[in-house]
Amino acid sequence: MTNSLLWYATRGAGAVTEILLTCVVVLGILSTLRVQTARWPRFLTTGLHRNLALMTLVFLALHIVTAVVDPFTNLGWAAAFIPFASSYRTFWLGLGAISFELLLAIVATSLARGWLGHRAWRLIHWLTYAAWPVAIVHGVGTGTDTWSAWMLAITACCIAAVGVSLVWRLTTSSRDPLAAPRLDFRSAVDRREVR
Amino acid sequence: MEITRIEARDAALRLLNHLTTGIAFAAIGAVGVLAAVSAATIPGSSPAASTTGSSNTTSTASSDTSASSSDSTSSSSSLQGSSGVSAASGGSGVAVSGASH
Repeated sequence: MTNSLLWYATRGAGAVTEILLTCVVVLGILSTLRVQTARWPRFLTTGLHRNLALMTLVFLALHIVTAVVDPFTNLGWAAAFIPFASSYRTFWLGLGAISFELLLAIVATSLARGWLGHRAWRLIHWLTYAAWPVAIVHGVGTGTDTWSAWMLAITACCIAAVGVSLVWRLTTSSRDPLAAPRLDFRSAVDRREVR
Repeated sequence: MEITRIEARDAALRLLNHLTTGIAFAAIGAVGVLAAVSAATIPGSSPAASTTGSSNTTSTASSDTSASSSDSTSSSSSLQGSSGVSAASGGSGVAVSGASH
């Protein structure tokens, strides 16, 4: 395999990872909104969210492996796991390493959710809101194709998708029919514990 | 009623499997397509150019007079090759930059 092929694969896998990660974030936001129809039950959103998250890690691994084994940049494996350890584009690749580790932590804790407990899992899961923009900035900063029309279109669509989902999430109240009773119950329990 | 709910759940699970499989294959295909698009838009350097770097660019200018016709064909077929001088240069020597990753 020539160096150029590795480099093209790195760029292709990076773009696909960006798209998949965006889909995961959007599905995660939609799952909190409890979006469902007759043909699209809620568990489908969470199931697809989980499957795509695992798929994202696979393509992220492809992106990292092809970048590391490409002899041109001579990155070394340390650069992929230790932020800012690379001598080549230190800052931008450091952001990529940070995003990778955040994603790894999010997926690992999601797989161990039953053992970890809901509260800790949820706190760690909030890191997604940091991992996604860091990944986007990494792509914009170090991407060879950043200013190519097709990559600009992909990045713009990704940012727009997450932006619209976030606005929808923030402007829509919870559709949980048990939200109010649950809050009342929690308040009652708290009052009883105080007494 | 209960059977309908079970059937709906099974249908949704089938849809989940189909969607996951479809997206996985689409993503694999997208890597190939986007790699091809990126290669077409910014081809970058050939392996030879990337390993030898810019040191070759200085040597081509001095050896241009002895460049044979075979040299010119080999340099034109490679992607931003750093060796050889093209025939169109008229013997004046054309310095080609090395790697542009």
